Amino acid sequence: MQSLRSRLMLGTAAATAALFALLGVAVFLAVRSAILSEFDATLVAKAQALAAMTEQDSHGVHLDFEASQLPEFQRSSKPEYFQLWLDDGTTLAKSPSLIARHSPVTSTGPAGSASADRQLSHSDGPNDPSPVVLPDDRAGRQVVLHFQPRLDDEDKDSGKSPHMVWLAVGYHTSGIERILRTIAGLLAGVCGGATIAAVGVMALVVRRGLRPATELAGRIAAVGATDLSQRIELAGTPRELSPVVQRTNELLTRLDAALTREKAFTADAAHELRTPLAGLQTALEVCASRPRDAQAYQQTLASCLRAVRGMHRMVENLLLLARADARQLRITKEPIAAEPFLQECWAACAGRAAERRLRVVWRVPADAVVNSDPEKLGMVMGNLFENAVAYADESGDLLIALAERDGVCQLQVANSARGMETSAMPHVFERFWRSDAARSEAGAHCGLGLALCRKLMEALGGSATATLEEGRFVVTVVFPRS
Amino acid sequence: MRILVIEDYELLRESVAQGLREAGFAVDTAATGPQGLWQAQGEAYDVIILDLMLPGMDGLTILKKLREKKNAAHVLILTAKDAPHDRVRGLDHGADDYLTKPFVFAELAARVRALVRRKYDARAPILRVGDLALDTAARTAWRAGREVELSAREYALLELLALRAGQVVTRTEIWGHVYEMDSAADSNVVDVFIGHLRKKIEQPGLPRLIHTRRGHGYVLKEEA
Repeated sequence: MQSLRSRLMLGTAAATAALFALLGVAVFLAVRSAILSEFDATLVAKAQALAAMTEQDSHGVHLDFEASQLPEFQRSSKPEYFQLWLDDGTTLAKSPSLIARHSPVTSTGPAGSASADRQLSHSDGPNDPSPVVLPDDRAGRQVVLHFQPRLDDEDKDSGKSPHMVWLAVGYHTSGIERILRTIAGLLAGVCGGATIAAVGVMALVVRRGLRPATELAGRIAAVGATDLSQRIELAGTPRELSPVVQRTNELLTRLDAALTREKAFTADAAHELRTPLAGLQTALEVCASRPRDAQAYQQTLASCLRAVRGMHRMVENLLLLARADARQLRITKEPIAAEPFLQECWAACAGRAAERRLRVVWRVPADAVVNSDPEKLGMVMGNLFENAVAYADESGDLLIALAERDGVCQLQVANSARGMETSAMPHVFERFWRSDAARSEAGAHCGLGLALCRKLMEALGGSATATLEEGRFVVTVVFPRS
Repeated sequence: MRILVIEDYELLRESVAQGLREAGFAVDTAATGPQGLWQAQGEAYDVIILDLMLPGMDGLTILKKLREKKNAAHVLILTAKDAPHDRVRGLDHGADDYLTKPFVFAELAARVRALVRRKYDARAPILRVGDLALDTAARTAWRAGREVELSAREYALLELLALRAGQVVTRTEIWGHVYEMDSAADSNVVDVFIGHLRKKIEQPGLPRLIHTRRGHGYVLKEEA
C-alpha cells in the first residue's frame, strides 16, 4: 500500500509527462506538416515551371534551353534532379545532376537510358510530392507530373497529335530535415523542462495539501496508550477527515468506558473475595491458636467449608461472566419441555421455600416447549428461583409464569418484597450490587446472580428486566421462540 | 476491656469475637449498621471494630455519628477497601486505626491492645504500680518479681485498675469494662472477684495495693 503522497506524485507526474509529450508531438507534427507543405508547394511550383518550359514542335518534345541551366540542377553538392520521359519510356531530358561526369557507358536499360547515368523513376504514376531516395542516396521528395507539353504556335495547326510526357522532379529535404530536427529538439527540451517544473510544483502542492493528514496522524499518535481520556481536536480538521476524527473519538470513548468497567469489575471481584477470605483466615488462625476439642474443630471446619463453597460459587459466576463478556460461551439450542425443566430447576429451592413458608403459584402451560440452551437457561432459572426464595418476605408468595406470544417466550418470577425500595431498582442488575437484605444473608450472596442472568440471556438472544410493582419484585426473562 | 465488633459476614464476625474473647476481652457483636450504632451508643466500649460495608447504614456514617456524640470508644476500621484514599477518608472521619482484609489475627489483637493502652494514656506495654507489674501483651501479672496466676477475667479486672491506677473505679465501670452484654448483672460479682484478686495479689509483708473506697469503688495505688 503506497503512501498517498507517492500515489499522487506518480499520478500527476505521469499525467503531466504524458500531456506534455502529446503536446510536444502534436506541435511537432503540426510544424512538420506546415514546413513540408511549404516545401511541397515550392517543389510543385518548380515542377510546373519546368512543365511550362516543355514544348512540342516539329522536332519533338524538348525542354527550353534555359531550364537545364538552372543552377540548382547543376551543383555538385546535393543538387536537385529532374527527368522528362515520353509515354513509351524514352528519356527526353535530364538534369545535369543526373548525367554522369566521369563514368563510362555501361549498360542500356529498358527505358533507353545511357551508361551509368542516374535515373529518377515515374513508374508509380503521377503523384503528389512524396519521400524518395535520390540518386545520390540522400533523402528527398519527388513529384511526378503527366502532362501534354505546350505546342509551338507553328505546329498548332499542323494537325500533329500531341504526346504525353512524364516529368519527375526531386529535391533534397536535408534542409528541412535539419530544421525539423532543431524544432524537435527544442520541443523536447521545453516539454521536458515543463514536465520537471510541473512535477516540482506538484510536489510542493501535494505536500501542502497532505499536511492536514500528516498533522492528524501526529495528533492520533500523541494519544497515549495509557491515558484514554484524551480526545482528538476536531477544530481545524479538513472536511474529508472529520468523519475519521469523529469515529476515532467515539472509539476512544467506548474503549475508555470498557476499560474502566473492566478495571472496576476486576477491582470489585478482588474486593468481594477479601471478606470471605478474611473470615476463613481468622477462623482458622483462632482455631489453631490453642488446643481444642473435636467438636470445636468440627464446627470450625464446617463453617470454613461453607465459606469456601460460597467463594467457589462466586468464582464460578465470575468466570461465567467473563466468558460471556468475551463472547466465549458456546450456545447449543434444543427443544425443551418447559414444565418438567422448570420443576427440575426449582427442586433445589423447594426445601428452603417450605422452611420460609412461601406460597408458590405455578402458571406454566403443561405442553409448552421452548427452544434454547438448557444448561445456560437452567443457570438463569436457578439463580432467579434462589433469589426469589431467599428474599421473599417470610410467608410471602412466589409466582412462576410462562407465556408465549409474538414469537417470544416470556418467563416471569415474582416474589413479595414489601421491604424493597424503588431506589434500589436501577441497580439490581449491577455486578456486585446487593440489597441490604442480601448482605445480611451471611455472605452467601455476592451480588452476581442477576448480572449473570442478564448476561446469559443476552447470549441466548433474549433479555432480562425487573420491576417493582405493588410490593412485589418481578423479574421478566424474554427469549426468542426459536 | 470491652470490645464491640460490627461486621456483617458471619464467619468473620464470630471468629474475631471468639479470638478476642480468648485473648481476655469482653466482646459484643452486631451484624448490621443500625444495630451496631445502637449498641455503641448504649454501652461504654473501649474499642469498636467497624466494617465499612454494612447493611442498613455504612460504616463511615456510623463513625460520624459516634464522633458527633463524642463517643469515647477508639475505633478500628476493618475493611476490604485498601486504597490510600479510602484509608485517608476513614481516618479523617475519626477512626483511630485502619486494618485491611484479609489480615493476620495476631495483628488485629495487637492493634486492639495498643488502642486500649492509648485510651488509658498508658504508652508502655508494661504497667507498673509499686512492685506490681502487668505485661499487657502476655497478659501476665508479677508481684515482687514472682508471677501471679490469674484467670482471664481476674487479669482483665486487674488491668483495668492498673490502667486507671490512682483513680477510683466504680463498680459500674468495672462491670461495664470487664463483662459482656449478656452476662447476668450482679454487683456482688464484682466484690467477689475483687476478693479473689486480693487473695492472689496482696501478700503478707507486701504493701496493700487494692484499696476500697466505701460508697465509691476501688482504686489501685501504692499507699492508701
